[in-house]
Amino acid sequence: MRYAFPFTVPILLGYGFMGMAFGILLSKLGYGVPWAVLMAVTIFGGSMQFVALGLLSMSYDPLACVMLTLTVNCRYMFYGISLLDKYGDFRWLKPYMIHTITDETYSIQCTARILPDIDEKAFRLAVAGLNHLYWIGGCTIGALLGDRIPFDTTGIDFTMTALFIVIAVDQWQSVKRHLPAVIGFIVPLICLPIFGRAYFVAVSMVGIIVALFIFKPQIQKGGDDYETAV
Amino acid sequence: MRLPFNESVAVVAIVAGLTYLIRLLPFTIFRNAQQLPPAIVYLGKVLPFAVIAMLVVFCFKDITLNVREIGIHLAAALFVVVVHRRFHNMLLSIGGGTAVYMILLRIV
Repeated sequence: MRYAFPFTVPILLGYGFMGMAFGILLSKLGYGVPWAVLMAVTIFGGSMQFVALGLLSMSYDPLACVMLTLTVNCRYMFYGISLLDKYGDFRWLKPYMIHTITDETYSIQCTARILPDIDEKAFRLAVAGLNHLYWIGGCTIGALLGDRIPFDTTGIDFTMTALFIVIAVDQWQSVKRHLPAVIGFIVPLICLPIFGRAYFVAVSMVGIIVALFIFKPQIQKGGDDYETAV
Repeated sequence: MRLPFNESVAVVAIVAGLTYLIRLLPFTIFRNAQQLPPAIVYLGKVLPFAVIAMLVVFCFKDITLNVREIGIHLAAALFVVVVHRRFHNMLLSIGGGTAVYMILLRIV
């Protein structure tokens, strides 16, 4: 736990403020604190909860709920592929580990260097649990505050962007060949203007996977150092 | 305006339930982590590199195409890259980058 905490500090800030923003918007719709807690615990996904705000304010449309959830969250399906062995021996806690897969949790689980004398399972559980708690805390505080926010926090959400950039830099410096990262950067850049903000992530995931297989010979040339790298 | 109680519960249940199923899917398809198809092992290894890069793009998806916004985002992002390459201190890179971004938002 003590070892895991420093890894999660940027997420504490990011989730804290993003969660507060969500809680504030939710309370403006007329939903109280119990709803914020319920959604933070059961959905636990930043972008999806913001989309759900729209679903909770229009007329009731279950089909839209299904379609939007599928398109916004389909990336989690691919995160699981990289976590299969890392979450392999969690036994009864496995459902919880799967429930707490998010962009941020995934990126720490995949990239953190876990020293040999650290209990890997305890570390991974601490990362997942702490992140979940930060998010629940942020959403709850936001719902409590409503719009009585004491200071101007515009731009604080950049912590999340900075976190992903930092991880990308670390990854970049840890391997000799950068084609997977380049693919991951270029494909969504192409997809964004074509498919728009709502759908480009779903299309990009598919595009990235296709590209990773097309360029597999180049990516694996000279042995692969991707496993030991991060 | 909010939805009535029952419909609100239904919305949250659909979104939460479906999200869990999405997260669960790979773990049920590839139940045995020891004998995965080679293609999946390969994806599991290289996908994190591509996904993190995608998430960086994802964070910039809401910027409108004008010089001020693009400039502020690029400047703050560049700050994070340079500072992180130089010092390798996560808190400095992230805290400093966010500070630069918030300051630029207010003065530019």
